[in-house]
Amino acid sequence: MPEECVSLQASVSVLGALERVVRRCVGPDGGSVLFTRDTGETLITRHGQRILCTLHLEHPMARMVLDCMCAHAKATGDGTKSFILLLAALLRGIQNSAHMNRKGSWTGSGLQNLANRLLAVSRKELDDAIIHKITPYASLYCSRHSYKLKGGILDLLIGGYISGRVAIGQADILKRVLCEFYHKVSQDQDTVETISFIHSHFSLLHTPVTGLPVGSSEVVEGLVVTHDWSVWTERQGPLKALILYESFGPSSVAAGDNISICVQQDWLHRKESIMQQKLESLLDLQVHVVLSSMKQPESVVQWARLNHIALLEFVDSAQLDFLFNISAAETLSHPPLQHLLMLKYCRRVQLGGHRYACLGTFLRIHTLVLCAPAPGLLDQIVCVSQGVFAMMQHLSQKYESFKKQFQSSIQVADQSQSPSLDQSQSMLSTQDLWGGIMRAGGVLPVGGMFEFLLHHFLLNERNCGDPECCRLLAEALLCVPRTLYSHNQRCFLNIQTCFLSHLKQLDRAKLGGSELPELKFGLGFSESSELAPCLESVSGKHQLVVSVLQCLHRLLCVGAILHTRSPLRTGPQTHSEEDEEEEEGMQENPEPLQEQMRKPY
Amino acid sequence: MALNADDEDFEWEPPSEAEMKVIQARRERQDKISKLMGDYLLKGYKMLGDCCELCGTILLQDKQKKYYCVACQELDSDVDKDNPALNAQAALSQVRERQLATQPLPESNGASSSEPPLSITGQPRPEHCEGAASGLRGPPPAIQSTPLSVPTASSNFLPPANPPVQTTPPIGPLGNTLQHAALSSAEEAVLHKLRWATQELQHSASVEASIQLCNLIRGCAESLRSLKELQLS
Repeated sequence: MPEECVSLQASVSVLGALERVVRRCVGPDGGSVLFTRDTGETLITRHGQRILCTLHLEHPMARMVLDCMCAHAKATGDGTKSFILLLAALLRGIQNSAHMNRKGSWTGSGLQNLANRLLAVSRKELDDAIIHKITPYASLYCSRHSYKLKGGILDLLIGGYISGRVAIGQADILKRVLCEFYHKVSQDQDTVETISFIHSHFSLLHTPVTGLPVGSSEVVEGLVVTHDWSVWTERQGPLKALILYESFGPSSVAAGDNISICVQQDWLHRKESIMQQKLESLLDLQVHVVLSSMKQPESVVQWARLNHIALLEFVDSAQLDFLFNISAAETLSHPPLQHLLMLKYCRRVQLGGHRYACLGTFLRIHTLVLCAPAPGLLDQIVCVSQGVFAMMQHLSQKYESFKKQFQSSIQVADQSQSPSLDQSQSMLSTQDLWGGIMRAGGVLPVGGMFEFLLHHFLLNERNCGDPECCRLLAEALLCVPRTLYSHNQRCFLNIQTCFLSHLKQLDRAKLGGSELPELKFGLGFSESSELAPCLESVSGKHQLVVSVLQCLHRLLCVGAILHTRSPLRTGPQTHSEEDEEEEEGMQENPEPLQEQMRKPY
Repeated sequence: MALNADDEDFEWEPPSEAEMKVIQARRERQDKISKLMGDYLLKGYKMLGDCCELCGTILLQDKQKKYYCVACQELDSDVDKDNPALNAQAALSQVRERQLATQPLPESNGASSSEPPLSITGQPRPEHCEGAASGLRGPPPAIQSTPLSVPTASSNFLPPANPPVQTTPPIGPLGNTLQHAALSSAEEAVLHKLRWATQELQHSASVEASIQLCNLIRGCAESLRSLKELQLS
């Protein structure tokens, strides 16, 4: 058999290995990976991005895939393992199609052509299938089962996201805590703005604590600063606080002040008197709390003690900026930079053996305290929590376009169904974002339903411009539910058969105008039906498929890999010096690369 | 629109069954390689950007900076599998194909259908071919009658085989002649029984007897193989 194209062969090998690494961590039944270091530190995680970034990968294609995956995860907060699974399945499908349909194998130009066509499918046929087929199905589905979903779409969405990513015991606790956090922060405010606020400031709004069980996670009112008060006095009521970015040190002499210096002693005396003057001016301002990002000199600490002023040092300047932005703060005129703001209260909190400071603002800020026994688990829980809000942000952003598209598709579905006017009207109100998303068909039950639906619609698309590419994509999509149900192969086949027959019934009923058959909720993924159903976002899945096809395009257009002598730059975000050029060429003799340590672990 | 707009498609035929088997075997091999590579990655090996010169698999590097090729060092080679001088199965399948090509289709013995090769060629199990092949490597054992056609057939295989294979020296157990005498007499006895069993099998009419004879033949072949290994060690 003739030799295969280098890029396809290399891609299949690389992706095959990466797929093997992650496939056992997929889904609620998946396991975790335990990494150990020679120093004895361990990291237990099942977070796809963390696992793959921890491996030592120097192959340029592997690093390129990792970059694509990280970029996708950053945008949607979802689907790192599914990304790898889908990409590997597509590459294998392409390789098999070479064997089955063609006498030879793929040439470089043939592969590029195929890559372009797959990208075109992602723009046209995929969009059509999702907007005109899956979305109406999802909205019909959810409207049929609205009595079950009335509890809270948000709960189900969060549950769906978490249940596949952490162990079951932790999932319940985390879900409860995250929902509580969201409700406390939103407080009848606009949902979209709340989500965007939490997502963009998540790093400031959460505090990780090691050494406690996961069940100790809670929501604390106020902004928690991970340092204790240097000087603490108990005070009630609203307090005026001063924010400092510099220390009251020798450099506190402002430019423009004229000082005449005779001897060193005189200078020291002068310096002290200047500082005393500044501190007295603070007392005049009736400042009760001083928040500083730097260490203040001992004299300032003494002064604070004497005057019963609470002093907090080493505050992260990002947190100080955040406080400045959310409160009605005024900036003092004279340099160095100082802000004055009002705080509702100040207190100390005890979290996991440490004492932290807690600042209450008038804007009712809450902090999410996440606890875990080990650092690796904590990292995973923090990633999952961050991902939840990234996913919700992505979903709410897509909702705007959903509104427009649903309105157009509801006219298409008009012929077979009788629309209810109040449905479309209530959908437009932003107060009920989640209800609107559900009615617009933005969510589906978890467990592979999206993949089954897309597989079915891609294969049965009547006016498809590129049937072979649609078939390739449709076959590859089934790899995700196959892995989810890998513990029981018969289960997968049963579910697939039931679902497809049910879809056929639906199609027939729609065409015939007869009564729609009873829609079973979920795919029977959970054995007992008492378990609450979970939802996932359709737009997130759509974005996943598009990202995978774009990454595939990059992989297939690699003509040759040239090795260079220059050192590698560390970190997954940077590209290596080994450029992948899109010209056909002989593979050069690889020269030894200079070694550089990648990220730790 | 076809997947490929080249002119070759006009002459395309679907892959034959043999080619399908090769494709399937390659796919399984690829899966095995991926699995091993994934396991090694999780153990802390580094995936390099280079490929092995022999088989083209991606190279791994362990913590002691040694290069490691999963396919070459752990899996059997893809190519050697088909080399009849090294693999008994390949030798037997080549013999069978030759027989099929030269003879008309044989009648199928319903009774002894458990061993089609035996009914077609009347020849013993592949271990004998291995014996023949190893006989060309090591000191010649006393293989006399039934596998007469096998050495001639296998000698036809050798010219197409790679010259390096021929010249790989046997790990000559040329010392220890006492051991040789005992082993060769044991071999003779086993072969004698084997011959007898084969003849009985050709004439047997009942299923149970055939099965028992086949078991006996298998036992003899295995003893022969261990004797060969003893000789070579």
